[in-house]
Amino acid sequence: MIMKNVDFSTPTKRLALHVHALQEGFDELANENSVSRLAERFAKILSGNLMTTDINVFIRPPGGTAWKAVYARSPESAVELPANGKDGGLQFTRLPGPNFFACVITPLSDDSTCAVVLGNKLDRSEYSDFEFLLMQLFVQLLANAYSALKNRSREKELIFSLNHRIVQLNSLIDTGIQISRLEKDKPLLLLGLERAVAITNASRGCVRIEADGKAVESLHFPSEMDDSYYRECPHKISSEFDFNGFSYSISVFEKESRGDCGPFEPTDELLLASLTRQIHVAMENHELHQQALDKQKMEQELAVAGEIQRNLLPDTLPEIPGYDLYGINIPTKEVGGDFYDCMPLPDGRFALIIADVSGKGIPASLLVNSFHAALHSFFENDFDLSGMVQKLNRVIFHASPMNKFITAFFAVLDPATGELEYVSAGHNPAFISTPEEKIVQLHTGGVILGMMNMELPFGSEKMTLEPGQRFFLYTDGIPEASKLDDDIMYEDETLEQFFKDHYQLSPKDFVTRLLDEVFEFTEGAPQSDDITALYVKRMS
Amino acid sequence: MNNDFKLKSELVNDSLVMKASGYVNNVGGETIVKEFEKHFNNGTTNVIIDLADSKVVNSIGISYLLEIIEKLMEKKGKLIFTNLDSAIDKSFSIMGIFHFAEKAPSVDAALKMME
Repeated sequence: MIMKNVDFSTPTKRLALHVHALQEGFDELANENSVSRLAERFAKILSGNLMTTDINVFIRPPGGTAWKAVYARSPESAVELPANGKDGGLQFTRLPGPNFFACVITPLSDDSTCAVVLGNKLDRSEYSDFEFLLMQLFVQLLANAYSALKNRSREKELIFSLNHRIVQLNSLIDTGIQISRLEKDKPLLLLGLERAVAITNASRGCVRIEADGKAVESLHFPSEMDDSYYRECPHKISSEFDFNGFSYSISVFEKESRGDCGPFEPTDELLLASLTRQIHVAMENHELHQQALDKQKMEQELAVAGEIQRNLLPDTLPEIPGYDLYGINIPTKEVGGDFYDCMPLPDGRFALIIADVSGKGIPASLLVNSFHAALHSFFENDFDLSGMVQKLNRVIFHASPMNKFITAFFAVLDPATGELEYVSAGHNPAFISTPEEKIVQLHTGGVILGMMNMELPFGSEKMTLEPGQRFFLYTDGIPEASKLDDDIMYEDETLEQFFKDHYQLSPKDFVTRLLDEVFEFTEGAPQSDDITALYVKRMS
Repeated sequence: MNNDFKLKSELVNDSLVMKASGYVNNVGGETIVKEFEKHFNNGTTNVIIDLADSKVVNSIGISYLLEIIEKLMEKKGKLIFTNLDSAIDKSFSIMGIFHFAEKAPSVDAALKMME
């Protein structure tokens, strides 16, 4: 304040000027944004009004005894201040001098205490009572400005805190979306960890993955940490989940404040738990999605394999003069393990084959392929049936894994004479009717193909199929057909009886009626095994 | 506290360009403010903070950035953030930082805005 042209001629004018100074002072003080700047500004205003530069401002924290200089031309003036302030409002004390003349102590809005110590005037003259009064008014002004500053500061902190909460919630939502887009577990966990550290204001974090109680991997943010820190850090919160045989523990360490670290708040535990749940759910979703993709891929592969498998089965059976034939294959899955065929041989005879590979799906399909290829190769040349089956056994033994076998029934029919030679490789006995309509089961043969390679011989048997006689090959899907949740099966005896009773039917009608009866028997239960049948009837 | 936070700074056409790398938290925020004050006290009031290599900022780090904003406002200075990760961009928006500071896609773009 410039004093040169000021009119101090009357007390009223002086008072008016000081009131103006007070208003101006408050406006200036109210705009300061730190306590030290406030004290400095206060000292300048007071200095202009009291003609002194020796103004010292101290603050004592709530419950404290030590005064801290926030603006001091003469820090030693602190010795003039009492160790303990009295309760109540503003206290004015005249000091004995010679260096310091008065001290004003006032409580502040945050329960701290402010003290102002006044030194010599510039012209060394005595302070008037009016000036001491003015000093008290300005100190009160300082207290009010301090209160306004603290209120503004609290308001800022509140706004900051509310905005921070919004950031936390927003981050929680966004993180859930972002991690759901990540396909690999590691980037997903790392992103989750980064967000967990940020939203809890942690100084660092760690994801520990354990299996059977042993750590298998650790992820860290923002930097690696050693085991001792992990174990011994006093300010740590964790959240865990188990997934696919692994235990995941997400931990954050030391909650930050400006320049310091400390314990976490209950809200942080809730946030960490929420984030952990999101990570867990995202990993589960990825797993399920991957399983769905794998299943889809497998179904596509099965469909292709099924197509190949279907191509191995005959579209139509060859026409054999004097004979009526009908065959059918109904697989349970896309790819079945049953096979049948009727192949014309170079010498005019026909090979009738039915086979059943243990198991279903692609492994069974591959074995059927090997079987089919070997069969065709052997039938192209002259062969002895039992010797051929022995060779086939060798091929299947080497081509199949330990748990895959083939039961098969081979028959070679000379249509001209009706001579039928057969070999059964552990297959369900075929039925043949005699001219007297008795039913004979055909068992002659040897072991299941692919089970052992000990060069065991396969026996064969020859017979003649006379006009009117019938010959029926089938796989175990027919006699073993059963009802839902019921062990009762259709059984070989029922099948044999059906074969015996329906001699008058054509092969196609026979097979159709048989399957109708089987499906009626199972009462709509899902088909448990492939069904394959081949029926031959000599007409003339 | 171990933190891999790193800060590089240079003066380009009277603008202070600070490139942060790592977690902007207590340590990171304080490092940025100290570097800023060194230049601010010498009269620099145009500041660019590049966060291309900082993908995570916590609220303590943000409070330090607000401190820089307050100081620059007193001197009518300018602060531009560059290369913000979308998550940080969103956090800064919610915290109201862009009421008092600007953002640019790159340091070069920010330097042009300072001209």
